[in-house]
Amino acid sequence: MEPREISELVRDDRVHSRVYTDPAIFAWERERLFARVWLYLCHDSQIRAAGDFVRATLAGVPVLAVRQQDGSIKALINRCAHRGAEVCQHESGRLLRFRCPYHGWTYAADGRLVGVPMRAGYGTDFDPAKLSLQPVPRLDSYRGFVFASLAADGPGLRDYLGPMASAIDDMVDRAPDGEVEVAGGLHRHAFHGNWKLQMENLQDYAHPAFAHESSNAAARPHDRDRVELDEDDIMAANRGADMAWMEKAGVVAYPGGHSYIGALPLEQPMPEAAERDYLRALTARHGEARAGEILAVQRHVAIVYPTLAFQSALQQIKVIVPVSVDYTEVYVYCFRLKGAPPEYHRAAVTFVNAANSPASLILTDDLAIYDRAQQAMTRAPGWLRFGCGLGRDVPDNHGGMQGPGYSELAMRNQFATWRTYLAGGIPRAA
Amino acid sequence: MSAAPDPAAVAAFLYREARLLDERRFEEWRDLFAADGVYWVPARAGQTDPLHEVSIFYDDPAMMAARIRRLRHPRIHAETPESRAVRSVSNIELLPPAEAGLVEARSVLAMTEFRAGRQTAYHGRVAWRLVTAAEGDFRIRLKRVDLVNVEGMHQGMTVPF
Repeated sequence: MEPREISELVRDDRVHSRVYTDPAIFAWERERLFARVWLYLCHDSQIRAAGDFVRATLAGVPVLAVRQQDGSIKALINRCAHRGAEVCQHESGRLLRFRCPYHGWTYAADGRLVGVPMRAGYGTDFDPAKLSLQPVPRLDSYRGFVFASLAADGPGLRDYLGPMASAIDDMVDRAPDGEVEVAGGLHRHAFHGNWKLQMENLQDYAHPAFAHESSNAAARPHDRDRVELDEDDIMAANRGADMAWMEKAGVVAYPGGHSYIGALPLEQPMPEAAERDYLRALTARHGEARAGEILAVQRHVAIVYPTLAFQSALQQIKVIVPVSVDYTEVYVYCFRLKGAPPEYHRAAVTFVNAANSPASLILTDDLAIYDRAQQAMTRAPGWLRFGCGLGRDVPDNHGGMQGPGYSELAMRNQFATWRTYLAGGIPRAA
Repeated sequence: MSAAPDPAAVAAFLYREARLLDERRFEEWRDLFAADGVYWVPARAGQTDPLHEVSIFYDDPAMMAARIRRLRHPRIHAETPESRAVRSVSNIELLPPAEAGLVEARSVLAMTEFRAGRQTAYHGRVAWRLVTAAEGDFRIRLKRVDLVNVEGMHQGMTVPF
């Protein structure tokens, strides 16, 4: 399948299921999308001291993010120049040298090859300076969130993020000390489906009433539990039982595939004393007016295309790792707002568990549905519809488009961006 | 109330607990817990804090009740068709009780689950804190399950281990 044919699979209001199921298209995605964009690498707080490292996977490539002596960060490809083994097997840690477990070739934290056993056995043309761990070409960070790109050229990180840098602002600004840190552990889960299923779901307000019906009912034990849908249910579905709050929540999409959906009508109960202390600390830092603006930002999920999602107000991010066309891993990291009362961190942990534990009452339905979608699309190829709200979107104030929460605007935006990348292009900036 | 718990009575209690889950008798299973009982599956080996660090399960009575209500809902997609599982409890050891009426025990759990056409094996160590409810009967104050693959990639989990 050639990129020209792939473009034909994405139309204004529909997408062909092959984009989720064809391994050849996944190979093109690696080359033309994931290897050219900025991908999330790690957070500053995970690698504070020289030699601190964490592993990551960028476009399928195993990478080590390593803090250098001068305080900068390098992203090094985790593959020995000798015989190809991963030089580092640990998930994270602190090392001043990486010694390959296979034959002992040893690299400094900046990737230089500094030790070669049996050196005398190599000829005079053997040049260790040419055998460093390969660096990832570009690395940059925004307010502690570190990104890397496997492409040597392309837009800088700030241009890439565009107005969606506000997803990071939305989390960091909420910290009374002006910083956040990775704290409280992480969740890992996987599903037998294409990565795009996850990215769509993150911006999809039309699904919870149906996909999460059992959890909604569990939270409201008085609800009727019936196996058969009757006419009332079908009428309610056609009306869209909760369209009012979805209108209000809204969805906003920006060039580059990024978007966010407005907040759900959920109560976040916080002990009164903790809330008072928090407001006092935030106001002391920013002044009352600015603190009010920071807290007025009401978003549920923001995505930085193609594989990163923020739930900034609840201090978590989701990193999506597409492994193959039909297998996707997801890492969910919890953050702490520095300077906030401990109750705020406890609330974040509780929320991360509720929404994103492998045993979450919510996530488990989504994972089951991704698996089924993948199976059905593989066996019964055809067109999928993304037309809800098409033609009714209006411009927002930051170079994007906006629509009501039930609009499939964000998915259309993802696919328009996807088609541009797969055709070899770069989306225009906002 | 005898000071030293009867190992056979503890074993019988643990077997019954596993069977109630196997038989999807979730409400009866919940009734094995004390009023303040907690079911905990940490998200990291050696985890000590369930409040400031994420967990796979951290079910207090309210959360457990919501989980069970959901398992009874006719349109729970993650349990359609209904899963089936068998649990094997072994290596039971009683620890010296910290206080009278308290029973501390360890066991090993092997569980095979069949869900949505896929069979999955879960193994783990279980730490129990039980209170004696009556002669030979107990209530669970804490059931902690440490999965051997806790830091691995997980599929969705719907039913407690």
